[in-house]
Amino acid sequence: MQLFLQQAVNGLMLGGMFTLMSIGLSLMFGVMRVANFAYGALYMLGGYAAFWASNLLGVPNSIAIVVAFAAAFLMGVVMEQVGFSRFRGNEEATLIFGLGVALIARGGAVLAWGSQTRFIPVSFDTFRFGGMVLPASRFWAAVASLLIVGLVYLVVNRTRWGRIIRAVADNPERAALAGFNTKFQYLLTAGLATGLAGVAAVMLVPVFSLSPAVDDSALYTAMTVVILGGLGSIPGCVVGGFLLGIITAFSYGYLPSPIAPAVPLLLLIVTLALKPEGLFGSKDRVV
Amino acid sequence: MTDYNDISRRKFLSSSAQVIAGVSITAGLGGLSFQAQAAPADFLTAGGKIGYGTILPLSGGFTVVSQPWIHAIKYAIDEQNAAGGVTIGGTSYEVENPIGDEQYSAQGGLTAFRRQVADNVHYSGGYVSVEAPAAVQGINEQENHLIVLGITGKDLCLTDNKHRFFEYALAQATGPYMAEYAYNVLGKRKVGSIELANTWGEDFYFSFAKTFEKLGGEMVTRSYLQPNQSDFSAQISDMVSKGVDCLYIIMGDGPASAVALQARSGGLGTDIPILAQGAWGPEMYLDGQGKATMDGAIYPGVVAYTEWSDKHQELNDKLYADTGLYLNNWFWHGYDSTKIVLWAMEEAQSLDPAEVVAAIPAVVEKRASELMIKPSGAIMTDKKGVFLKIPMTIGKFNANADFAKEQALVAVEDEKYVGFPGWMPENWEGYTADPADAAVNWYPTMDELAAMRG
Repeated sequence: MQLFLQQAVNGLMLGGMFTLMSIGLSLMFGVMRVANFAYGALYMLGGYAAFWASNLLGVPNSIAIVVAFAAAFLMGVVMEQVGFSRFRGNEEATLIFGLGVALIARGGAVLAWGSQTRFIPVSFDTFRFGGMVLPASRFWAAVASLLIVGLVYLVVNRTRWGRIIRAVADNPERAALAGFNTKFQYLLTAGLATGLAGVAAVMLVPVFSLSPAVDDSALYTAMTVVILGGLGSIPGCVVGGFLLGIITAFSYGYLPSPIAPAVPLLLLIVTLALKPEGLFGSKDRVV
Repeated sequence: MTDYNDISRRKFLSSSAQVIAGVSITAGLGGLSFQAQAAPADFLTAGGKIGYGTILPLSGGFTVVSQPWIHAIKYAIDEQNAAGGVTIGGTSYEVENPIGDEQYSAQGGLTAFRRQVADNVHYSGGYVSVEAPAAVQGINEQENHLIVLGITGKDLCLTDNKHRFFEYALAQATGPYMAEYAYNVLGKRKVGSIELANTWGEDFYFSFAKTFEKLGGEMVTRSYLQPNQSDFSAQISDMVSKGVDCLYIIMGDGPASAVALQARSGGLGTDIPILAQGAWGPEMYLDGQGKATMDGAIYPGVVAYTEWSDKHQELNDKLYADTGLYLNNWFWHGYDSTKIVLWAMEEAQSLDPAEVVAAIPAVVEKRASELMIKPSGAIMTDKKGVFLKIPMTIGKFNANADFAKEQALVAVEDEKYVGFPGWMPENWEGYTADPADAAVNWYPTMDELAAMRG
């Protein structure tokens, strides 16, 4: 029973981290209707920004977050300006553009920084209660993840800027007629979304480590969460993240090796079959 | 002239016998002359050189493993070329080294292999994944192509394949030593293991577990990982809950780093030793966190990995200049094994892989002193190719070493674990049996190994 509870707690912590890893992708799709296949690569590049800020410059994590956010924000703006804005409405071109950027980013990262695994310093401290072990790094990463996701939700739903981007997402032409600069809003949203990927990397790299190859697993995780929860839905992203975290923890904890990795995928397939728009998704949903 | 109208039965049989004998002799001579006529030119690339290919991942996470290996093969070839190339029948041939991207997959390995075959390359080394050489196995014999590989796993390296040079230690030979070290020297009794889910991982698990359990230890958890897996909290929690006192990680590179990191922060503190298999080396310890996580990990490496000489310094300097990486165990997969094959060509005075592979044991015996890995010979099997006899040493990683000037792996003090046989005895049934034969003792314990060695 204790191991069962431990795995449940593992799943909850993992779910919090998965949610943070996915929120930027969800936001981008919700507002811009863009499936950004370079998202995992941006997460990876954000991780390297954080790594160099932390290990080379020796700055604390709070500064590393700013550095990673700024670097990823800039990359998002450039991608929107150079690619997504030109291909808007053309899903195939958007997909290929994202994949192309991801390939270049990954190859570039190997050339620039090598393929060695990198680490950001992390505490080995653990919290123990009732026989359960909570790694401090994982616990705080999960807590911070939920705080950041909550903040994003408040910004989108409770601020003036949030109302603007929801208006743009709902109907860009009408928003433009109302006097909003939709192009600028798209740039800001792309920057924020990819900036969040950078922030996620700062929070999660100390737990998972970093190499050019992490982009695949980050993209896979984020896509799964976003599709599970419902494309473009922030509450859906939270639920999808926790669902994936718990399913992952229990399947790896209790199922035979060949089956465990397939269970999250199976969940995804079942969801797509029964509710293609995702658990919280709707055809008209706007973030 | 024979009068066919007047032919008798005796004459007919006599004539037929003469014809059959003549045909047989001609065919025999033809066969002999065909072998003798397999000129070096038949095995040269379009550029008139000997093709010795490398097939290893060129992109992605595993390049950290393959880069030193790729360069090791290249350095060995460069040295041979600088010494005048490979001399066959008084003619010297330069060796070229085409590189194919294995992509850490069956499809990638097969595609790279076929491209090299199309270019009349008859030798290739590398193959870091289990999937790539498994895809190439068999086809290489049809194409008269010698593959040089070192990834263990009974379903991979103990299948029938005469055109194979197995250049590394077998898990079956090293596992019992690691188990005995864990039990007798470290005093550990409850091991938690996590292995790459394939035949390579399985071999390392069972070859360790059989001896460890025979000694009285307990394998309390056995778990698995996938190469692209990032979270291991479920497996670590299982180990913590069962009170493991030793962590056995059967995987290297990024996934191993992540397992170690999450183990240390997940309740398996630095007082719990890590036993390691796979790609472990200085590249894992470049950052402070990596050092704190994995310093002191226990690992069986080739003898050359635990030593440092002028030659080590020269190779390390060159490798660092070319890749930014330091000597690791994977470098030693490629360096000496390539030299052995090139020397075997001269020994056989042939470029035909069928003849070259047969010359490997003689070359190793004659020139062992020139090799860094100090092989004790080679075992020629009937159907499974040649297996190098490599001495192995258990060492502890010194993550704080100056990798530019000294070895990362420091040999343990107990002499029993320094330079022990990394090969299975020649009388082991595994060298002749079908890997699917459940009646074979595929994972002998240390006692059974000792009995076999006599």
